[in-house]
Formats: sequence, structure tokens, C-alpha cells
Amino acid sequence: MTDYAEIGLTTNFSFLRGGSHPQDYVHQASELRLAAIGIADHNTLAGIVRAYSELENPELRHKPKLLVGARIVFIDGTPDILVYPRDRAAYGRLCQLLTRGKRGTDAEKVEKGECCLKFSDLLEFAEGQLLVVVLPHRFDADAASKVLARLKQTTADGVWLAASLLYRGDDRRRLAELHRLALSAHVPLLATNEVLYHHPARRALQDVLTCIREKTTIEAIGRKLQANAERHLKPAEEMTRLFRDFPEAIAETIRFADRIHFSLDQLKYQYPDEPVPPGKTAQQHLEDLTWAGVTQYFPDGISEMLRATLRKELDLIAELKYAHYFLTVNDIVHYARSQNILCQGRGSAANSAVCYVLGVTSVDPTKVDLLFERFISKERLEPPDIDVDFEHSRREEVMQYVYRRYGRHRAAVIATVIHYRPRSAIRDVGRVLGLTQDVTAALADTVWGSWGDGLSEMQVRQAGFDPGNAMVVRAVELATELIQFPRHLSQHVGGYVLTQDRLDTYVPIGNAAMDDRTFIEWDKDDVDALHMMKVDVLALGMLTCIRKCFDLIDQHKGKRYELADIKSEDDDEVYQMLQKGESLGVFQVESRAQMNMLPRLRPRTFYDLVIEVAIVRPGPIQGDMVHPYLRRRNKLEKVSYPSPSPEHGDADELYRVLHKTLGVPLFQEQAMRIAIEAAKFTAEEANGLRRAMATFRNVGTIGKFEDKMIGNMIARGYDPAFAKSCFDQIKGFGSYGFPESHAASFAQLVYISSWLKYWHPDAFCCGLLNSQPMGFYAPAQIVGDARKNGVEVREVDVSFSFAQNTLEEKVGDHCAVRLGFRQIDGFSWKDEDEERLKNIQSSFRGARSASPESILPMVIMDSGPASFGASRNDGTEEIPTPRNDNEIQLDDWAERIVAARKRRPFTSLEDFARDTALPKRAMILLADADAFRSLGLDRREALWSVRRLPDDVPLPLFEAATAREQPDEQAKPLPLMPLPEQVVADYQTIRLSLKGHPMQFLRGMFSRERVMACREVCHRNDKLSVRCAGVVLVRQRPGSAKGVVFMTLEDETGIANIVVWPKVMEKYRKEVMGARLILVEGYIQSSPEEVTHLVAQRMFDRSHDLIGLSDDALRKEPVPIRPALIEPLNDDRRDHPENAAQRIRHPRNVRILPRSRDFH
Amino acid sequence: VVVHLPQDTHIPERAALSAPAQHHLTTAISAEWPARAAGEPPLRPLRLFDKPEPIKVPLATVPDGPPHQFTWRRALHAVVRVEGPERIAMEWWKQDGKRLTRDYFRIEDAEGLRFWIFRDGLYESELRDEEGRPVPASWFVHGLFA
Repeated sequence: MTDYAEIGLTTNFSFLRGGSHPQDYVHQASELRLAAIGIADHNTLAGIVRAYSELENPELRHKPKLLVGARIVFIDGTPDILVYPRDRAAYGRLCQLLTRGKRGTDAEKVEKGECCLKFSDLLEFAEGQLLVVVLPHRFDADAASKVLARLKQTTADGVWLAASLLYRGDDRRRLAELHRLALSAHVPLLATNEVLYHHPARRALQDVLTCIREKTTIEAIGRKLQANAERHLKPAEEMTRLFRDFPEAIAETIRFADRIHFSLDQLKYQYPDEPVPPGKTAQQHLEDLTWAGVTQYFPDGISEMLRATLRKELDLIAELKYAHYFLTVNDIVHYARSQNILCQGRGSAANSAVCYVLGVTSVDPTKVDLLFERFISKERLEPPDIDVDFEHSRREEVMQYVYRRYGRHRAAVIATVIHYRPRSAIRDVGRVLGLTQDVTAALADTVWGSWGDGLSEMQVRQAGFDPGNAMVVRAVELATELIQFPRHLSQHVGGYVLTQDRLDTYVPIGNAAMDDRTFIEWDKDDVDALHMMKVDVLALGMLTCIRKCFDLIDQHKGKRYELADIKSEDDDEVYQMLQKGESLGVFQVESRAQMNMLPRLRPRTFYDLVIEVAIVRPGPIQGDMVHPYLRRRNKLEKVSYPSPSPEHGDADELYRVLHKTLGVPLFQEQAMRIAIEAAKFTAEEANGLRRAMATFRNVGTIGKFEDKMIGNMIARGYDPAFAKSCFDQIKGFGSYGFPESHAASFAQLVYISSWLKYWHPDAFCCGLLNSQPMGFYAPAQIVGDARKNGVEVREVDVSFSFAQNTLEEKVGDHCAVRLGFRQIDGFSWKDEDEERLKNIQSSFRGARSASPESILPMVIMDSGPASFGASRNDGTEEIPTPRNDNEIQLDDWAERIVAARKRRPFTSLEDFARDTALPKRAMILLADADAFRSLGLDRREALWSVRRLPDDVPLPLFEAATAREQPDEQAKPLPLMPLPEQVVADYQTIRLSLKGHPMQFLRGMFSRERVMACREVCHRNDKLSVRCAGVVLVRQRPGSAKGVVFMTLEDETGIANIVVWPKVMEKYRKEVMGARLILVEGYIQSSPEEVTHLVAQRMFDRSHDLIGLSDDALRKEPVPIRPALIEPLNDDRRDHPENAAQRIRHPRNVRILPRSRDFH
Repeated sequence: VVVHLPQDTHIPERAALSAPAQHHLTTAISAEWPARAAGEPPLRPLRLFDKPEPIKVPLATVPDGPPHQFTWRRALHAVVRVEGPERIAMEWWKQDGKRLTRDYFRIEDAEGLRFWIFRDGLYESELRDEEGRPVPASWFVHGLFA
């Protein structure tokens, strides 16, 4: 039997060209027993690691040799050339070649995703490469022979001419011509099938891809498609038969493959040396830092146990040579700390004692001692995993630091492969097949969110189509095949790869869409597979909020806290608050589902919070683990540990894995441990299982693991039902897994934010508002919650407010919160975090040679506006953080008000206008937001006065006349704006009202309709039928809840939780999705833990009643103002009413309440 | 009077659309006739039959060989020169049922007549009955070269 190697495979990482995954080729080549396959994607190495990793799949009976290469497509008309590096050095040159094409030169930056290469570029990097010239169907023989001759002169390892027989009718004639060309150029012919997909069945999909690429339909594309389905991987015998006249071309493929000595495992990764001081080894330095940290964090000494743990961890780090990694993370964290940027590590290695004493995590190791056992497992042989979350608004500073420290040639962000999702797949396929947009949209709409892995027949039916319709069926089939195809590469949110030497000799680097940002072609799995070091610099909004709270507490209460300062006691006040389900605004546990879980779980200890974070997740829910856990926790069920038959080993084997969670697996790690302990998987198999779970595609593979795991467990005497449920849970974890190590880090932040909420509700409210948008709740609910907890909240006022929300003097137990100008929709203010970043970037760009550290202290400032607030309150004159006057650009309205107010307090609106010189639009916004009350003007009076002010740009002639020239108007006082209208206007301008709730004005009407207040609903008996109405705050349809929609309604008394079952949802979809104010009829369902829901049966959209609020008011009182005044006040809300009836209505009523927040 | 307008498709019988000459607008042409490469014989016949005419082929090389002789309109033609096959798969998105892939050959017989013939279906995958047993192939003449 002859051997054959297929060279020049196009995978789907040649976006919209290749019709198969790299993994598909590996499996097909193994099936066909090909000697070697050579992947060569268009100007990229992005798919290569996928193929390389797949070789590890234990199911492969035959492992083809994998040749690493790329197909270089030129912009100067040169025919395509396949480039395969012979050895490691040549591979580096190929990466550099591609990097050049993707990054361009300083003068000519290449757009993201493009690659511009000329023939001369290839010649420069040709050394050690195997070059294969691939000619198009019809070619110019003279030009081709010139290319071949030029390539022969380089130091390339060799030059070949690709020959293919693609059933094009003139195959033999063309082959003979190629043969002549090869002979005259003295290059061998190399047989290839110019493969585009692994199996002929992929022809239709490949045609669709071609259409998507050409942006046309299948009917219109014509001869741009391949005429047949021959471009697949063919077995050696078939290729030999086809090339029977040129057997040498077949034999040449093997000689070609044999010349290549490069494989990806030769990429010997080297850690960067920066964090290690000269003269020390990395391990020494890490140990020194560790013991120094011990004295800092445990000034009273540490227990023997902790000392032993640290010793054990350090030894393991030494053995696995991970010291560099820990030091690199420590280096970044250390920088963040020096800049007062909060951060928190998470991940398998982050909860180690070493990380605690280094300050990488604030999860106290004495509180969660059990986590160490799975610190880094030797057998996993993966790099340790530490993700570090930084403050959302200041993460960019940290990223800039990484670039500065390691240089752009050694640090780059990793890629994220953007895949086709069900929605995008059906949209693109539908367009190609000529389905109309409404059909495609209807099919796409059946997919909520975008994480499913296919369209089921039911979904097709739901969209109103006959699943027997051939076109729809074909579209759905093709779309299902297309799901998980890579669509393009994007930069990862914060994963960095750092190397000691040039990164562009490891992997091609390209430009990101963002200026000054570059990213590599590989994603996190690829980087993991090659054991390269990755540091995740992630952003977390809650950290920003916590830092803002800490700053506020520091300024107003004189105490500086750090993350690690906040210690929990079992069952302390903070836990008691959480047990009541009071978690609005708290990190992670503020969702509806979490709020419901809290009273059931009643967390008393830190570990309870770890469980709380992990339990309301699709994994445990799909695995049906939640209820068993709750029953056991509430002592309604005996805690037992399944065990194998005695002859099969230790009866306690699962006790050790599961005792922390009362015998119910809740964490990803536990699921894996069960596979290892109970089903006796090897570490390698368990890893394979984990990988199979992570990718949707390998459906067959998962089935095999399932049989094996359940089979093994039953064979060892486990209850089949238990074995099945374990596996179901692992399946649930696959895509939504939540590991204990991450849950622990999150739980820490849950505690800290709850602690702030309990002890400092004033700062917490203020910090949350200043971190918006974030979390589940709108400003109105955050403020409402703070007021409920005894915090006084004061309205926006030109005499007291700053850009940010601030704290004022103490009223009762807490400081009052003063709303800031940032609450006013459309008002212009500057965010200090953004400003600081701009400064850093510009100083960095402006003076690359200057040490960045020398620039930084200048731009560091604490919360400026808040300190103004402090100075005013305690009477001392505090110089605000110096800001260069030139930097105050004219558009920072808030800053202008604050500056003018410092010169002299405002006494009248005209003074205010002159002193601040704000544009009219700003004045209107302020008046509209009712911010002139301290000047004795209510909203309507202020608006009236603002209208009288001269326009923004005075005519030159009148410039001198800015002195007051309008006499005080002695007009008849305007009638007071009625309260309902005030409240509605408040909601329109600042999204909340301190004066009342819109529902309170409708209460009379609703009472007559026998509609119950939300608070009452919470105290009603089970099963009682009630009617309830309220403003829709949140709509949520969790992926795990099988189509159930949860809604939160609010009225002036509180909130009510509505459950909408799919049946009802189907009927009232429009109401559920569209209503701002909704009336719900249903029955009460309450649980023993006093969690009450209203199960909806009928629903009515009552949004029009809100509009009535201000209309009625207008009608009740004759308006003395002429219609001219009722015209739109804000340009952006201007709409042009078409009919008279609409003209009377105030245009801003078009949108009265902020939209609800929807979560999938 | 009709004119033939080029259509953008691989399928031979669909490659030309006849339209009344008086309604023919040059701007309406959606495609171009395939360009003939200099120095190469034509890939498409001068005369294309409306309906391919069945021929009898006693023997052909499996899987993708041409016949050695065939009977067309009751006359036996001995094949002396062949080029091909050109494999054309049918348009899978069309509603006209499952049609087979064709292997076209350009053929010259002993008298110098030139034919464009094809085998309907691929031996390996398509010419099988439900139990996977091979079924005999049908052959057709689709046109004549000048």
C-alpha cells in the first residue's frame, strides 16, 4: 500500500473558506490512515493548535503526522504559496512573516483581520521553509516559472509545485503542462487535492460559506461555487489511482513530510525574567516574599498548620517550576496596589496560602483551609491558573503597565475566537438560501440568548413553521452544522501572554481594532495546550464600587479599609442581613434567584457564601442538585454518602470529596473528583472528559464518556440513579461550570459588599450610584433601598451637588447622600477614572522614554468631588486635587458649576447663568431636573426663567451687554406643578424621584379595581388569588429555568415577584416584553422560608395610565402658559407630533420610566 | 426569433436561457459566456440537446473511466479519443428532487465525430440500491462538438 500525505488543507480558520474544523481533519485523516496532513490556512496559524491538541484524543487509532504551515495569499498578484517551516527557527520566521503582514509598518497600519504581504516579504523570511507554489486553474506559465526560479535562489529548504486533479475536465492537460513547468524549473511536482473540507457531505455547507463570503444568495452565486464535491480528504489509494500517470507526485508528498522536523511541542516556553531581581533564583525570591508577607499579614505569628501548608505549597511550586508565574502575577498585583487599584485573584492557584500572603487574594486561608487540597494538581500538568480581577474602570491602567513592563514585542493579548451562534448561524444561512428576513428573524427569535447548540424541531414549530418544509429544514440543518464555526478573531478581554524573548517567533501577532492594542492568533485553550504562561487581567465592576465606598468612608468617616481588613465572624450581623434575603446591590447574590435562595440557605459562615454563589447556576440546577442540598441542609433529609461495594474499595471515598457539601456535588472540581474516585478515571481521562464537556461539538465523545463513567460506577456497586445524576451534573457543568476556587473569591466580595451595605449603607448607596451602570437594579431601587435602611437622600441641587454622588453631614446614624449631576440624563461631566487613564496614555505616548513612574504620581488623585464635599461640611478649606486649568475643557459642565460656586455662592438663577456660563441646554437640563430649589425656584419656575435667558452665543454687538439687563420679572406667580407631574418629571430626568412613586397617584384607581399593593402580596396566604400592579423593574429568563420568566414589579409600597410559566408567557408575550406598568392576575405561591411569588395567569399592559398621570394634571388645572411653552424642552427628546391630540401631550411623556433591565 | 442569454451556473442545460430577441436587453445579462482559453479545445459542445439522449454503454472503466464504445441512435460508435471526466454535481438547493452527479467526457469516435457524453451518477456513492448493491449506470449524449 502506498502512503500519502495531504498538504495544504484549508480549515474553517480560513474564515468562510474552509468547511471543516481542524479537529475534523485529524479524525478523518486518522480514519483514512493518511501518513501526514499539513494544515495551511490563509495567512494564519490560528487553527493549528486545535489540530495539534486533537492528536491527544485517545480515540485516535492512528495518529497522522501534523505539518504546521500557512498558505500565504499575496496582495501583489503572486500565486498562493504554502509555507511549511522545516524547524523551530524557520517556524519563528513564518510567525514573523505573518506578523509583518498583519501589523504593517508604522506608516501603514493594517486593519484588524487583514494581512498584507508581498512576494518580497516572503523572500526575506524564506530561510528553512518548504515552499509549495499553488497555481490557479488557469495560469500564466511564464510568470509561474519566474516565481519558481526566484524561490529556488533563496535559502528555502526546497520548492515544490502543487499538482491537483479536481475533475475539471481538462485535468490531464493541465497536469501535463504543470509537469513541463516543473521540469524546466527543476522543482518536483507535489500531489494535493486542495482540500476544503474533510468529507464530501460538507459540500453544501462550503457552498453556503462561499455565498456568505461573497455576500450573495445561493441562487445568484453561480460559478463561483465549486462544480462538484471533490475537494475532500481522499485516501491514499484513491490519490494514487488519480495520479497513476505521475506516481512520483504521490511519493513526493511523503518525502516532503519527512523533511519537516518541526512540531508545536518544540515551542519551549520561557517565563519572563522581569519580576526576579538579579542574583536570585525565582524560587528564592518567591520564598522571601512569602515569608515577608507572613510577617505583614500575621503580625502575631502563624499556626504550625499554616506554616506547613505554606511549606508544602512552596515545595510544589519549586517542583513544578511555577515560581516565575507567581512572581509575575505578584508583580502586576503589586503595581495595582501601589496605584490604589483594588484587585482580587481567583482560580485554582489563587486561593493558596502563598497567594494570600502575597496579597493576590484576600480569601483568608484559615477560613477555607479545605481549598488547598486541590491547589495545583501535579497530574493535571497545566500551568497554574490565576485570574486577577481589577477595578473595572481602572483595569486599562494595569494593562498599560503590562505593556510598559514587558514591551510590546513580548506581551500581547490572547485571542477570543468568535463562533457562529444559533442566532447568527440561522441568520446567515437563511439569507443565503433566500429566506426572507421575517422568516429568518422568526427562526432566530426562537433562540433566547445565544448559548444553545442547535434548533430543535420544537423551536421551528414555535416560530410558526412546518418542520416538514424542505427549505426551512435545510436552513436549520445547515445552520446547525455552521454553529461553532469560527467567524473571526477578536481580542480576549484581558488574557495576556508574556514571553522572555520575542513573542512574534512563537505566534503571529495582529492589530486589534483598538489603537495601540495587539493580539496573538491563539485563544486561551491554544495557549494552555502549549503550556504558555497566561495572565488574566480582568475587569470587575464591583471592585470599582468597593473602592469608591472605601474612599468615601475614608473621607467622611476617617477610616481607611482594605479588602483584607474586612473579617467575617460566623453568623454576624452581615450574615443575618443576608439570611433575610436583603441583598440589593450586593455582588453576585442580588439576582432574583439568589435573593430567593438566601432565606432558604441561610448562610452563616464564609463557606456557606461560597456555596450560595455556586448553587444558583445552571450546572447544579440542571443536575438537580439544589433541592437535595437544601433538604439536607435544613435537616429534612439524612446526609448519606454513596459508596461502592465493599470489595471495590474504600467506603469513604466519596465522603472525602463531598462532605463539605453534605454529599451533594455542587462544584466543578467535585464532579471531576467523582469521575476519578468513583468511576476510576485516570487523570488523563478526566481531563479528556472536561475538554469534551467544554466543546459542544463532540457529541459522540460525550456519549462515550457517559457510558464509561456510569458503567464504571455501577460496576463498582454505586446506585445507577446516583451515577446518572452525577453525569448529568457534569454535563451541566460543561458549559456553565463554576469551580469552587472561583466561588471562594467571589464569596469574599459578596461578604465585603454585604458588609458595606450593612455597616455603611450611605457609602454603599453612593458608591453603587457612582459605578452605574452595574448590577441588576436601577438607581431608583438603589436609592429606595438606602432610604429604607435609614439613609437620607437629597436631590440634585446646583448649590450642593458635584458631578458624582457624594456624602454630606450625618443625619441620624448615617451620612446623607447628595445626588450628583451624573444622575441627570444627558448632563456633561467627566469621569475621573477616564481622565486619569487619558493622562497616563497621553503622557506615555508623549514621552515614551521617560520613566512612567515619574509621571504617575502627578495624575493620581483621590475622589475629587467627594473631597470638596468634605471640605464644605467640616468647614476646613481643603485644596482640591490640582487640575491643570487647561485641562478643564469647556464641556465639563459639572466642573464649571463647582468652580463658580467656590468663587461665590449662587444667589439667583441669573447669577448662576453668568457665573457658570453654561450653555442653554445645560441650564434646561438642570431646571428640568429640579436642581434650582436652593435658589428658591421649583421646576416650573426655573424652566420659565431659563427660557428668558439669552441664547448661547451672543451676537458680537451685544457681547458687552452681558451685564444684567433684564429687569426682574414681576410676573404673576406660576401655579405650582402638581406632585404627580413632578414625580414623572423626576423619573424622566434623573430616573428616580425622591418625592414619590408614580404608582401612588394611581392607587385610587387601582384600589377601585381591587388591585393589591405589592407589599401586601408578600404577606398573603398560599394559593390565594390576587391582582397586583406595578412598574416593571427587571425581567429575567434564566437559561436553566426552562422558559420560565421572572419579573419584579415595584409600587410605592415595595416589590412583588412574578413568575410567568411558559404557557402564560406564550399568551402574554407582548405584555411581558413590552409593558412598563403591568397588572397581573394570579395566585400566591409561598414557600416555608417565606419566599412569596405571584404566579401569573392573566396580564394587562397598563403603561398608558402612566401617560395619563401628567395629562390629567394638565387638564385639571388650566395652564396659564401658551402652547409655545409646551414644546419640547430637550432637543434629543424632540419629536414631531403629527396630530393635534398628540401636540397637547407633553412630548417627554413618550417615555416616562426608564426601561426595565432584562437579563437572560 | 430568440436569443440565448448566458446564465451563471455549472449545470449545462441551464447555462443558456432562450429569450425573445425583441425583449432582449443587453443590460439584463447576468453572466458572461465562459471564455475559451487560447490554444485549448472547447469545453462545451456547439450543439446541446434539449434533452440528453440515452446511449447504450456495454463497458466502462470503474470508477470514473469513459466507455470504449457506445450505441447512439442505433449506431455503434467506437471511442478513439477521450478527455475528462468533468464532474458536475447538481444544485442541491433546487427543489427538483435528488439528482445525480454527472461525469462528462469529450469523445471522438473512429469517424471523427465528437460527442459530449455523460454518466449519470457516481459508482462509489450514488449508483447503489437501498441495500448498497451496485446498480448499472445510465449514459447519455448531451451534445455534439463541431
